[in-house]
Amino acid sequence: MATNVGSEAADPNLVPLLDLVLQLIMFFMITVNFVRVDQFDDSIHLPVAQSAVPMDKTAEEWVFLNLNKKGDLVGTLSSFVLDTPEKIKVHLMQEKSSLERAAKSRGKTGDIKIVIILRADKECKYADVWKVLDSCQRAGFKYWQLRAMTRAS
Amino acid sequence: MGMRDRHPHRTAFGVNLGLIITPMLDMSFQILAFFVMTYHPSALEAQVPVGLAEARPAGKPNDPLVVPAPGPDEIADTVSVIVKVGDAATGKPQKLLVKRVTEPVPQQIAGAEVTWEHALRTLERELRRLRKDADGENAAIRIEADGDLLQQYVMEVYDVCKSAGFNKIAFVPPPVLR
Repeated sequence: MATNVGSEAADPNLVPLLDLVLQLIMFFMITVNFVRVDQFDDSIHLPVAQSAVPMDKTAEEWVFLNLNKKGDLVGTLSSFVLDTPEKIKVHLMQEKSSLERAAKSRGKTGDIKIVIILRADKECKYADVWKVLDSCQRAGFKYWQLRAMTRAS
Repeated sequence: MGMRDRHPHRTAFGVNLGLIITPMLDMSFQILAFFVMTYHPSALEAQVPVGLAEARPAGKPNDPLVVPAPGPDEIADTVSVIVKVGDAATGKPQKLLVKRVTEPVPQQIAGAEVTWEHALRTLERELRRLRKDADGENAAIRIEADGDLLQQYVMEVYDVCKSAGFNKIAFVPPPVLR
């Protein structure tokens, strides 16, 4: 009675491998954060402010404004010619009206909390930042926030 | 008499699995690679609450830092931090001044002879000293910067004001926009 000793190949057990791969996929799927193109502009390098606080998530609507180092509004607003505070104010008033209309059509009543989120480049001039914030104030917005990084990346 | 084959599914060409998982593994790795590429570590972006203050009218044209007495609704303990730019092209700060609203003339904290980091440390010491005299929760700071100052320096001054214990911080329009 002859037996073949040592001729059996080791079959890899793929179950733990599959298990771990699916765990990793689940982790990355949960932590993925797809952001809208009009919200963030990669060309903007935010300043560092260690005392910046976590983002306020109580807003009902947001208006993202990305300001580059030259003081120009970029992103989806780059197609508009918003080179004066008055033009910025008019555009923001239109944006505010359309957001309020959209919110009311969804059944919202009362004041809609619309927050202006200004992402100004760290090399942008203070006068340009102020110009945009002033336009926001004159357009009737009550809530705004400047964005900054909590540490250098 | 041969031993019963322990692997009934073994064929001459290898293991014949009942379930072919090779394509599934392949797709799993594809999806994993996608999410690894698009993964961003914890967000570093945060917000700075912005308060906007109105500028008080300037004094004589050649003496813009002399301001009139505070109005009736103005908090007497308001402190102004004034940042002057040396070279408009670079936007770098040159002078740091501090002024309490009740004082006629601002006091220079640091000038071009020291580094910006040293100037910020001196500013923080001065603000902490002022904070001790200030009216607790009502103490406020106004940041008055030149229009050509880069936003990064404005944020650093904001950081110092916060770390000195002031919670009410407002930004004043730059001189050119008043």
